[in-house]
Amino acid sequence: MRVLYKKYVRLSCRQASQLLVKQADAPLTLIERGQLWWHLRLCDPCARFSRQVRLLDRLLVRNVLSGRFKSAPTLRPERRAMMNNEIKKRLTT
Amino acid sequence: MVQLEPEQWVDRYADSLFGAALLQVKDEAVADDLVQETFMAGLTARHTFRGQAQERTWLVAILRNKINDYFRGQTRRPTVSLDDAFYDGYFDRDDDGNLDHWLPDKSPGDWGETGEPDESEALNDVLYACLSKLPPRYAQVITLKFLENINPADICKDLDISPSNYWTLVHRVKILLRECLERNWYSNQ
Repeated sequence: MRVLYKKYVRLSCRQASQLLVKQADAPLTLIERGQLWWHLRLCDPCARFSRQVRLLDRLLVRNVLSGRFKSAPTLRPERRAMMNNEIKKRLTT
Repeated sequence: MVQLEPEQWVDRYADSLFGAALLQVKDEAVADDLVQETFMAGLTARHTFRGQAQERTWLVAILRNKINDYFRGQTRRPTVSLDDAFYDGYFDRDDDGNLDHWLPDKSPGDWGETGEPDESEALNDVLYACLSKLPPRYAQVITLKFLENINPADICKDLDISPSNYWTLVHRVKILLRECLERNWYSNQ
């Protein structure tokens, strides 16, 4: 029984966390979903991992896509000016 | 139909393209050059622009190629070993030697679940610092995925990796970023 449980039902935390990450992008199989559901009922660390990674994804989407990282370095002004000049030069020739 | 407006490119896209390039190549001078090359290549190719894509998407595609060329030209291409050594830093092993539970000091801690993500600028700063600490290969995957919203199949093509390697990379990036947020934000709250 134990061997079968381990082979077909039980996920390790490594496998569970991997499925949790995959789930955000790709559908899991019915069996994977069942295994994951069972694992999360029994495993507090993975349940927290699940919530925290969802939060991380929301933060990434919200900030990265809209370019809202205020602390991200930006181009130096002289470099911007140079690029603008290059582009204008090319457009007029 | 979308029209290209090259005179606006620097104002509209220079900083965000620069930010994306910098996370991946880790060098401001290189990122500068890549953005400039992207604009120049865009000008040269502007007659091929057919207006189906957004201007930004079109420039991002050029930048992706430039970044790939840059890494291809490097003597040491960014690679990460995909063996289990990484996971041994996070999970213990069971009696059969398979990776199993979270190691006690790596186990996801209680963040005092608040529901909605914190909006504060300080949290954004921490997240940005965590992103910029990622090794190039991980940074590439996450920038393509979130910054450029590229689909997994195209990311695999870009990075020349199999889908299963892609999932492994994404899994590791999430483990690293989650841990970094916990260390630098949630444990100081």
